[in-house]
Amino acid sequence: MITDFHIDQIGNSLRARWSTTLSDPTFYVYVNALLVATTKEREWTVPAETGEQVYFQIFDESGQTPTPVPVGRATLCWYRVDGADSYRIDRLIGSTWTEQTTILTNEFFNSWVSPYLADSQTHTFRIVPLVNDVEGEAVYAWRFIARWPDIPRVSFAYDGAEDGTVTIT
Amino acid sequence: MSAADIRVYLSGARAAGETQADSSRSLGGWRSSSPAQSLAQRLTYWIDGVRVLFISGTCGTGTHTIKVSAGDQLQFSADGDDFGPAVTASEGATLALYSDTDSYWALVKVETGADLSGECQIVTEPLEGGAVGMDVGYYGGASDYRMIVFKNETGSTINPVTVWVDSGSVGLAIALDSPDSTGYFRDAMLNGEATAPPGTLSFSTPTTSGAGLNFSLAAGALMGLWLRRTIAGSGTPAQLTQKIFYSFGGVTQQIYGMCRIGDTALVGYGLFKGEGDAEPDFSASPWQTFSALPHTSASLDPSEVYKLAVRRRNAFGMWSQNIESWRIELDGSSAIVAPAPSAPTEQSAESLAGGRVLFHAVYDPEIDGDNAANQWVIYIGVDGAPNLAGAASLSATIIATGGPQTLEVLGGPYDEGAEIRAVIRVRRTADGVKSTNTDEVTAEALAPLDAANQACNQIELLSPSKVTTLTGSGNNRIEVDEYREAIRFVLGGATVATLNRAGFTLMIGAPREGSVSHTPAAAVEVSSGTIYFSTGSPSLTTRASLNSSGVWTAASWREAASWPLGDWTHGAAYWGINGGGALEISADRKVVGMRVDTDGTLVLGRSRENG
Repeated sequence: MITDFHIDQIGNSLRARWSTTLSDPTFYVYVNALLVATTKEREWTVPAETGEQVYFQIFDESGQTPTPVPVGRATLCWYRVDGADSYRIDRLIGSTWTEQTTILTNEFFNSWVSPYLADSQTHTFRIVPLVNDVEGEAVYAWRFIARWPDIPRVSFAYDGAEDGTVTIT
Repeated sequence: MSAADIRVYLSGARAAGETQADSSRSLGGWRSSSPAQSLAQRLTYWIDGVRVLFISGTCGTGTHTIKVSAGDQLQFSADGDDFGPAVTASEGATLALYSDTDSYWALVKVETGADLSGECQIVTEPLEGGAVGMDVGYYGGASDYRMIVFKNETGSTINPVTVWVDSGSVGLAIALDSPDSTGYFRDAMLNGEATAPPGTLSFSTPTTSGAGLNFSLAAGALMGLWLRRTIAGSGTPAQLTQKIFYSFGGVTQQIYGMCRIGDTALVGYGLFKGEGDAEPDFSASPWQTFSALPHTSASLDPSEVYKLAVRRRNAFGMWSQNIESWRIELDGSSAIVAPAPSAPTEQSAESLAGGRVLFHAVYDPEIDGDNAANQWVIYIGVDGAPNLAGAASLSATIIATGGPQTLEVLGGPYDEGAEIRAVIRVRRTADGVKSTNTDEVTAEALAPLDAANQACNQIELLSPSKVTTLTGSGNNRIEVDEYREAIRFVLGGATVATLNRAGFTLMIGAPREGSVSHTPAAAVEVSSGTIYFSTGSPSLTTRASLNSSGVWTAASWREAASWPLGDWTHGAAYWGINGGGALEISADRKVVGMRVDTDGTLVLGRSRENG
């Protein structure tokens, strides 16, 4: 069993540390419900400067299932379109379709994970099959993102002994 | 009956049975061929040419498998269940595949006539939205509508079919609707999802099968089901799973989707407070909430240590996950007390040979930021507790940059068997505040080193065996003491003079001026109880002598004007003739200690008569 779990924010990184009641187990480190490491180490550090929320889940036994977390990314999946040699992913920003990436693939099943998306908004994408750069019929997908909000960047100032308040800006 | 005998589809297709997979457009009209989904699915492995159309809501979240068995047959197993019966695949066929538990099923389409191979793994997750969950980000206050279509896929009438609402659903009502003779249902697309469909519908919320809506489905027939979601515009935000059940012929299935109820009044910040130097409890309600920055808190009490953190909250009641807190310690007058540095980690004490103890610890100054410590302090108790109120036993400087800093410092030596107890702290020298950790590390002192171990430690012992005779023999000789770096002139068994590495020539008697008559055989030789010193090259001329009374004789003598007399150029020898023909003698073979010049002058680095 994991014990003494705690997280330190060090600059722009988050470091998780933990102990265990087991003798020399392998640890399974999940960040945002994705397995990022199997390790004997008792700490793991991830960058956090992008503002993306980080949620650690550590297990000292295999076969454990991480708790789902409200992710801030959209995963688009699609099957192969006969004749297509690539697929362009567009995202609707304002009223303009903006290319996110073009994937050269002939796989039967394909997927693409978006960048970290703004909270409490609907994000719209389309997948455009291409044949020699000629567009086929697009399929559309939208996803409402409700996720952990961005971390507020605040500073604290003690207002002095007279009123004993703290001003947060 | 089989679970797939009735299938549920979206509506809103451009023509009867065409593909239309967008649940937000499922507002009546033509039936779509796209199933009403309950689960979001993605494939981690796939069978080329086999498209997964649907995983029944009964399967739940997890990893489900479709495999190819002999003869291009397909089998399905829901997560945690065994494989169900094999179904023969053929190009263009849409197949219902059942798991061993036949209420779990999947719908696939075979798009190839080629041989199938491999295994397909389908990972399912809760579906956000869908026809039953509707819009995910829902702020309430208005009604939303969707319409789904039940179709009898068999050649026989199924009667009754019963539909009801899960009692955990919120604000969900249902109403049956029959299509016209062409299969077209009333259409809410014109006015959109937030407007009631045209005509009259009888919405209700039966939450048991007994109270459910019953209908009969002839072979291939359709029945529409309108769903209406109505939730008040304010209240507790929540993540809901909206669900309906339907049953027929002993089979019960479910369709569901997730939505979130938001309240824009919640958007803002929460100030979380920990007291007694404890971190804030983020699982509890915040101390204060506010909608905008800057914000001034309520007053803090004196003589208390607080840790404060601000988290952001969205309309759905979700908080940002930051955990970093700001610490403030107030004294009795509500003035700030600088916080103590954090305790070092990975502390240990290791016994080493010779009674030494190695103290180890790690400290990361970045954790404490501006309040970081810059000094290690170690309190050591020998056979007793360390005195934390006293002066530190050992200290060392912390380099304040470059990440975590490691302490490794030796203590001791301590007496064998002594119990060494230590507390390793860090200190901020600017104000003398130390970390407050009190955990001890301990070690038992080992035995001191013996002589052999000292040799191993490269400490050589002086030994008389290092005294060797350079010339002469018996009681008349010149010898060198290599460890002490001294040349002794021994005559009649007594040392009559010594030249040491500091350039002193220690003499029994004083030099005297005079001539020396001798036929030299070597630059320095012992002969008939006298030592003779000669110069010149290649032929030698004796210039000075030393007798058994310790008296030097030379044409003249003096102490050198400067010391040393010169660098040694004669290698491993203790004397030699230099380029000018002078005799040079050295006790350490590094510098010239005394010299006899070709004019007969005896030059001594320094001299001392000491008898």
